[in-house]
Amino acid sequence: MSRIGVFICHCGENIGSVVDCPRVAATLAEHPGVAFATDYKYMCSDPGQNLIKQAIDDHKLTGVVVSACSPRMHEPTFRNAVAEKGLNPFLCEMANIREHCSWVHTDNEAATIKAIELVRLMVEKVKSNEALEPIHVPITKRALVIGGGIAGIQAALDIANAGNEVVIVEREPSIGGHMLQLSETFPTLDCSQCILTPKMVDIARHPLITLHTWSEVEKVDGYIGNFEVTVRKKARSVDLDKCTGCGACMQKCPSRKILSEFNAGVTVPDPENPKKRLGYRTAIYTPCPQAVPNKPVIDREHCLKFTKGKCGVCAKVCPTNAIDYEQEDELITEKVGAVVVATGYQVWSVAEAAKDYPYIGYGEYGYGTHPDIINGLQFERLLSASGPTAGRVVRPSDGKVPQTVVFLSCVGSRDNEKGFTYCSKICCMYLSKHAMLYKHKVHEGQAYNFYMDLRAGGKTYDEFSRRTIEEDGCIYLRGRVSRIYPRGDHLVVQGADTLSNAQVEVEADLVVLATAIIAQPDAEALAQKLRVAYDKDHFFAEAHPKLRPVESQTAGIFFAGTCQGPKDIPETVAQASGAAAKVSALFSADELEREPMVAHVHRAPPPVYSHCFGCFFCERVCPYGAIEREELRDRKGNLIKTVAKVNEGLCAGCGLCAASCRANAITLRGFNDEQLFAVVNAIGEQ
Amino acid sequence: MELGYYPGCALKAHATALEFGASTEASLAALGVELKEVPDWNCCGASAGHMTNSALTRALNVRNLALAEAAGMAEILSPCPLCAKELAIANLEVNEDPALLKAAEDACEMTYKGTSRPITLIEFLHNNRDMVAEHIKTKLPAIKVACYYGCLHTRPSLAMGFDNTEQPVTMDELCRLLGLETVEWSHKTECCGAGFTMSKPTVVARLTGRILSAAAAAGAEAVVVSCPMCHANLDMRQAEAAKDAAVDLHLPILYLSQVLGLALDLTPKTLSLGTHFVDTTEIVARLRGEPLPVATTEAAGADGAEQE
Amino acid sequence: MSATQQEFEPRIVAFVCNWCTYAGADLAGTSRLKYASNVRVIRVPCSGRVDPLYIVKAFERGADAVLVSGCHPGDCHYAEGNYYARRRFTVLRDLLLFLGIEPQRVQFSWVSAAEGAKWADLINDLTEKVRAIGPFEGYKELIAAAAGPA
Repeated sequence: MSRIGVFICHCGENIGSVVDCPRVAATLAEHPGVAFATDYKYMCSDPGQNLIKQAIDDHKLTGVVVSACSPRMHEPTFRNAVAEKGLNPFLCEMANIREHCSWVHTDNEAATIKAIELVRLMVEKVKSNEALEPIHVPITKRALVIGGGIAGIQAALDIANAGNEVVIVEREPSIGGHMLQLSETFPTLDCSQCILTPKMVDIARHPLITLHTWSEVEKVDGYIGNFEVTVRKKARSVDLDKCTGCGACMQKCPSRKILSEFNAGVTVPDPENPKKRLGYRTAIYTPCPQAVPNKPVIDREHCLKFTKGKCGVCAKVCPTNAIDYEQEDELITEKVGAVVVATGYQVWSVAEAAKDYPYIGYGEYGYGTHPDIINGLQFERLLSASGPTAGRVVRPSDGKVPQTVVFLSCVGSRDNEKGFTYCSKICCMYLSKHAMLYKHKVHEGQAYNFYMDLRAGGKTYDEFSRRTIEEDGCIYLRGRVSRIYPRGDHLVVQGADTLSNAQVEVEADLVVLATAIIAQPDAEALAQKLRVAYDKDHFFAEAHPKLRPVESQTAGIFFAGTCQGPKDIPETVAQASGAAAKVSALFSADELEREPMVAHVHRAPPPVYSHCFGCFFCERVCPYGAIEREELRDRKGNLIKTVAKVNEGLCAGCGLCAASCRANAITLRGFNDEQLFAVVNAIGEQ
Repeated sequence: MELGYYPGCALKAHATALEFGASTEASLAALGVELKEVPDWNCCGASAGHMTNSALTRALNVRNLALAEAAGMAEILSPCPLCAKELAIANLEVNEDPALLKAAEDACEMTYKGTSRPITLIEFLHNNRDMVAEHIKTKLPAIKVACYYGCLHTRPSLAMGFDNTEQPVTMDELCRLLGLETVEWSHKTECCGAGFTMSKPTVVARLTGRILSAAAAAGAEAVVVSCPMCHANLDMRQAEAAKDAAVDLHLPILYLSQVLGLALDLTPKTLSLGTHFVDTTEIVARLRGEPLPVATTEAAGADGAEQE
Repeated sequence: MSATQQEFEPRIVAFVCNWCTYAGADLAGTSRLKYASNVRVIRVPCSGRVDPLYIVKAFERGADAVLVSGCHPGDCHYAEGNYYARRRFTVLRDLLLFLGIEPQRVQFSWVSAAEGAKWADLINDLTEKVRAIGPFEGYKELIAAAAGPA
């Protein structure tokens, strides 16, 4: 027997001046099933809420309809109010007679009639409402962080410092990512490694953090609070327990001409011996001296032992017998409750663009064929004290110090024709920094920057860029470069200066291209493993671009850093801490409480068992993969049928399954068929 | 084999590039290719037409394409890339937009189904390089040449759609097939000034000066081209170019069809090698493996027209 | 809704999704835009929740027009719900048209949370269109025919 309480709010003058609230209350008081109806000036105020609570007691209400503003505004307010009186909050609904009625209609009579109808619709709905309890899902309080760059490091430290365990999976032999490759960072000119390595050491020493380097995520199963992740620990060929990081193996390795990934492939002539070049790495290697862990891996594709069956010197000189050529990849399983994806970016290479011959890429800049045309990351390595030149800026071709360096902005970015449509965000700033550092190192040098716009939006960024122009004499030319070609020892850079309306030709010794920041080559594959969305450029898609930037649409999976889009270090660190905060919030309860408005498959007693006959159309339409298969068996264990089952942890409550089910076997709690048909049926009543 | 042929004004009607026409026809005949001119072909509008009235130009070229189609020609050899470009763009436009096709058909009073397409000399030879290799009689000596593609062979990429836009290689490959050595150089597709040769020759002098200096700096002893416009500017304006760039230039400008003809043992006279501005006597002698002509005071005229 | 001489007021039922169109309608309210009072909004979590039977029932219960409105393609809060809604709706609409229901009575739209003005215009347009074609009598005729001679 329904005993619904109806409360009509005046909302001051907002509703009351248009809708005849007392009349609405009086009309609804006559409606079958309504035990109490009244109107009041401000329902959301304390006295207003008390009015409801009192009525629940006095009239033994089985349901409440508050007719006021939009439920998007105050539904939680009123639901909490009724809950305090012991009435299940899901037995409270709101009728929107403000945004949808009093504020948009001028005819008071028509508005009042509409208000009466809207309230009646909600009363009929509430009669069919079920009491619902929040769903509890257990949580494994361990987080997985995929990627060990600054984003992953920051997130891991924050989560671990909040008291929860973290597992980091990093693809390279060491954590540190691209930030470890940088020389000095804008706008403070902090030495990148100096500020990063202490955090890397913190990671290594943290009792709650487990680090898997030279490893990749193979498979992700499960759901929020209960993920099961398979990690492939690739064969290092070095026993980490025995290796002390002495480096003897690297010193003796005869394969010394492998391009170093850490040096972004740039090499320079050895000033002591012009026939040799510096910047390579060995087959057994750590990426750099500050590697964490500081233990090498063997690059089996270039190691003589693995390619030709020869050598084996490293095993001979290792004082602790740590080399293990027989080592194989190992698959391990990690159980975690949340995943933070921090897989970073890569720098677009115009040399690789030539593979998309003939229409994509920058052939006018030489397709990467000239050694003195390099990209931003390669220039960082030249500037870096840990780089092939220990920080001297020299030309990769002949090792001479360049007197004229030309920087090009937007190579591949903001390009609808043959690159990427977006802005890579950091290049304007790092080119300013490059010009500044170049001038600090080569006092008589001259830098030029061909730019389109100067984007310096962060704190003290604009002042920093101005210093490059005013103090370090970099000449900024607003225009694009049409062609770069060699002439003798130099490079001719042909461009335009649109502000002075002139064609400009600069004879450069070195050209630095600010190529686009792009997603990792396997971003799509990883996104599919995690069941997260990604955009056309393969950056991961956040749940809401403004209000939910660190969450994915898949519950329990968060993003941090450039894998979600180009950004600088301050933003990356902020986002990483944000993701960590979300994870910590998730882990703060013992169980995960979720909104109960999820789908539910009908069960029935034998011989029906369930109206579901196992067509699994719901499985096909569910955007969240929340439909599982359940085998219904009789007492003897014989299989009767396989039916759908909703994973309440994954279900987001969209109702697609309910609308698609041919057997009406699956329903959406809170918006089930009974409720919605009740509303529709109430339309015709006068 | 038979091949449709659209010579255009430069190769035939006005014969401003007599050498290109004569050498192309002779070399292709020596390859066993019978060229059939598009019957009653008209101007392609590459000079004034395409800049003044696009509908007219489209109609002119749809007429050419329709005539070729009616004569059963699927491919039309257009050695001049300016003509090839006009035909190709018209083809692209009318194939994409039926309204444009109708307008052009109405204007030229013909119907066109879209089955013909122009092909440049480079593309044709590239597609048939096995046939070219088979017919080579005398491989040319490994003299260094710079292959100059000019602005149009690879652009606009949607219409011309052949080879790499910025760093093309097909003409280089063909020259190497014939025995020549090609140099890697920076100005393969740079602008020579084109029609400014009439209206503002100082621009052409500046631009061709850069192109030829770059070729010389790369070690080239001659430049190979496949376009009458390129030839006119690099050859005819070479003296002014040298003056503008303040370098000594003596780079004979040879047509691809001429070096092809030499490898097929055709005579310099047949290939019209005697009518260039920049004297080709020496380079031709070297290409033919003959002793160099002795320079005497009675040496016949600056253009070496008497050589045989 | 008797057939009297006074102006016919269409009754429009709108099934709208919580995240986009409902919010868009709220925005129309906060912006104090004015539109016809003929619409009754029924909130659902996603336009993909709308079962075709609700639409049929709405006509049975006296609606003169039914509107289903959700998020723009690509913006669905639940990723794909609006695509299914559109497809389902297309099939249903074909069926309803086959049954003789005028196309103006069955509408589908995308209204985002930022499109308050679009919502207001939509309701105004729809109201006028349906006013021009008159009340929906089809269902009543059908029931009367099924009941046989009284």
